Amino acid sequence: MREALSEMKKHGYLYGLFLKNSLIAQLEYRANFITGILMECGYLVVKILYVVVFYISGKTVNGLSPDASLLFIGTFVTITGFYAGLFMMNFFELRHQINSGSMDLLITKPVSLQFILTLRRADVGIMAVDILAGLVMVAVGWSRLKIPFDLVNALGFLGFLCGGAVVGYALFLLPQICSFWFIETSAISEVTDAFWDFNLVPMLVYDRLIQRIGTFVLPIFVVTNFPALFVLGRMNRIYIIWGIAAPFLMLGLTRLFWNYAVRHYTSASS
Amino acid sequence: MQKYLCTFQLGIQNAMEYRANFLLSMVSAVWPTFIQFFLWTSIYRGDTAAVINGYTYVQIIAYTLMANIVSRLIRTGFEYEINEDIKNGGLNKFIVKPVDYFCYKLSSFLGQKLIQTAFLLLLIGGVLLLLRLRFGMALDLLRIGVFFLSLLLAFCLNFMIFFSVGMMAFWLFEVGFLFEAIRIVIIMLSGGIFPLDIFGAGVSRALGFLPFKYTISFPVELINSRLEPFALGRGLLVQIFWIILLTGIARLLWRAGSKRYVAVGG
Repeated sequence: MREALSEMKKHGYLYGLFLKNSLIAQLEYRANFITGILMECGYLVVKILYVVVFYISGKTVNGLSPDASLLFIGTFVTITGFYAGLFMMNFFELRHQINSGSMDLLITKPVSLQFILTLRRADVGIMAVDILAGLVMVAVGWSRLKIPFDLVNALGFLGFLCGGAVVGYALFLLPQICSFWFIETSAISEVTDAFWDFNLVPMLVYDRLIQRIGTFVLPIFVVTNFPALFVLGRMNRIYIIWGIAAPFLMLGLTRLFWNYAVRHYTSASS
Repeated sequence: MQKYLCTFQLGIQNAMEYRANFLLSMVSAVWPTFIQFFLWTSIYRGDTAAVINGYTYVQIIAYTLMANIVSRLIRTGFEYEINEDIKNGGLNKFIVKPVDYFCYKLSSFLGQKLIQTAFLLLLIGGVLLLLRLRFGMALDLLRIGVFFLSLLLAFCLNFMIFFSVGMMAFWLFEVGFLFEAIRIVIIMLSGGIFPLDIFGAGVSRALGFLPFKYTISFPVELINSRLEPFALGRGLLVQIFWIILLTGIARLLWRAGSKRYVAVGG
């Protein structure tokens, strides 16, 4: 037990260092840092356009008022900040690390290989833009809907937010693990990247069948919809249980697949 | 002329080389259409006769389908190549050889786009048929003819816009993600994501004074029967006007940029 705790402490400390190093490296290449933020702002405006569509139509869509849609899209923007800022770059680089053989060096380090390969780099600028804008959108939607800001709602929202980020990490890492077998997986990245945008609109907009598949089979909707569904009181018991179980299940699944892949790894170079 | 024909053929071969990539980029282009289709369908649910923000259900679906295809059709990507050429000394060979850079880029771009364009035009034909038969949209041959003419002009116009954007690389130390940021804003202002009306009447009218609207919004609204004959003819003239103006601007930028150019590399 004590060993596990000290391992966690070590990884936590390391993660702090990773973040710091990423920020320092980014500030060195300032043009990339600033234009990266500009680009993310552009994407953000596109997401806000979707909110505008809901407000202009002024209709209640499947029981969702425009304010409720704002809450959903705000949550989506926040979690996109986590994904684009903390995970995405590492996932896209995974292929390169494996193909070039630079992974070999990392295998020898006394830390978890998955940890160092999938969390080492971060884009703090992009993350800040999205999380800040997302939380403002959530706050505006929340107060306009007059949802009481109590402990249950706040903890539920935060809990499902973190759970969603974990499911996002696991779900989008899974296809990238195929890089251990295939050399060219840039096509996979392109398709999964577009797949992320399914949450641009609340899941309630889609057909019932698509909702089921997206929740239980390919849990893309679990990534960003559950926090808003919870505070709107639209989660039944099955959803709540699934919302709590899915992050653990998905992370476990990814972990199993990762270990399986690493066991079959044959070094690229030398 | 012969040399540009060769460049054109090289462009085709280039595009043929990455077939899997092409197919997958088509697949990922389907998602936004899919998402927007569900969004609008749920907004209009049970009330397809409703007019929301000036659009009937059929019109907004037609807009969504067409705008996504047209924005894919006119999409460029050579602004990054221009940046590469300027930063890494690729322009050197154009200084010493009797090849005009603008014509070279144009013929190479046309070659690279040829197969994709053929595919997308077929798709547009399919969508037109679907709109006519399934949604009962009124379409006559004259309108379709004018639509394809406006598409051709939109294609040229967008080329000129992004060629001018590429010229910025002469003055910028590092481009980074700037072109991507510019591309998103331009797509938005062209009406490639949603109809321009959602920005409100004032902004929408102001956008009429910029060239972007005439690349996506104009051709799509044309097929959508939302333009009167007068606006239609005027739109075509505005497209031609912008193409001529931007060609002049691009030439000026090129001349000013070449003076700043320092041949880096071998």
